[in-house]
Amino acid sequence: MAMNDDMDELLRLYRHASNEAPAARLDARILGAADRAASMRRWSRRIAWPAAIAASLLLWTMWPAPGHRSPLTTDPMAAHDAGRVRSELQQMDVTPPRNDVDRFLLSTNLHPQPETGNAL
Amino acid sequence: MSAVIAPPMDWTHACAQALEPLRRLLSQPHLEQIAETSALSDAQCMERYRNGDVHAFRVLYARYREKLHRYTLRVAGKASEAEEIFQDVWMAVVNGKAGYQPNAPFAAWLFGIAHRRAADRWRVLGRHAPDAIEPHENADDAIEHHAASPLYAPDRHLDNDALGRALVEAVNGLPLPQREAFLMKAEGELSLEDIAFATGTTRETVKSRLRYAQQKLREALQAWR
Repeated sequence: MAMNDDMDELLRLYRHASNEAPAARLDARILGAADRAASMRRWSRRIAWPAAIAASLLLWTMWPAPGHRSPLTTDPMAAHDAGRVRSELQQMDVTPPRNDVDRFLLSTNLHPQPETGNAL
Repeated sequence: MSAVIAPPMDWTHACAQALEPLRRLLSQPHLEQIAETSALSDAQCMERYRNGDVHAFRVLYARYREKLHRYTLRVAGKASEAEEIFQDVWMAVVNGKAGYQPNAPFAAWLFGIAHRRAADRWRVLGRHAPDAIEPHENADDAIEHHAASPLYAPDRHLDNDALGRALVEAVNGLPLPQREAFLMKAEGELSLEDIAFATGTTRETVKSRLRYAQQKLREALQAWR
């Protein structure tokens, strides 16, 4: 097609005549930035696995093992102490208090429910 | 007889000198590595660069540095502004390498960044983009009725320098949308679809702009008939 041939010829002529290039200092600046970015990328990839393993080990050593027993269950005197406490509780005086104030406090509901009857 | 060894005055400088051959060896890629990386496609190079292969970026840069430079030069109009846009575009590639998706050609992605950076720059400077004139609707008819192209005149040597310079000047004089479309085709070798992707327009719009550019360039070269 003549139209495409014309455009192709324009493109060929343009590409032959157009030959500017960027300055070397610009190349150095851009390539330097690319090098630094690539180095950071490689470094972060290298330390990713060692850091993950180190963190896992740290968590593993610090985390309490499952099924860890309380020292009380291994105390040979635990049964004796429990029996002594029961005996003391059974000997305690549990008669109600004598004065009216204490009796009132013990018999009164400290958190009364709101009345649902004939409220004004 | 004893040999007298004088320690270097600048210990750091001496160490640097001793390590220089090793540094040069490690920094310069081997020929095999260069050949291997140069054979990769643009998408493969970007993938390698994303994983830290700096040589892959150098291959991409070598492929497109001149093309992008000439594009920014002709779009910006001033060398200083072109240089800033050029640097901005490559910094966007370096820093935004994770944003590249292989579904679009690398060249279309690269020139798309350049297109947006140039537009941003005009916005920052408070200037309107130069010559943003859209072609009239019946451009196809105007082209069909136009006189024969001077490029096919048998008595013309198409490859002489003066004609080439005149064409470059004519490209610089195109309205911006047509100039961008022509440059993306000429420098970036982009297809109509890729130019549409890079400029955020449609294929038909790009086609119309290229036809208009073609007409204007032929008119500018009429003097060579």
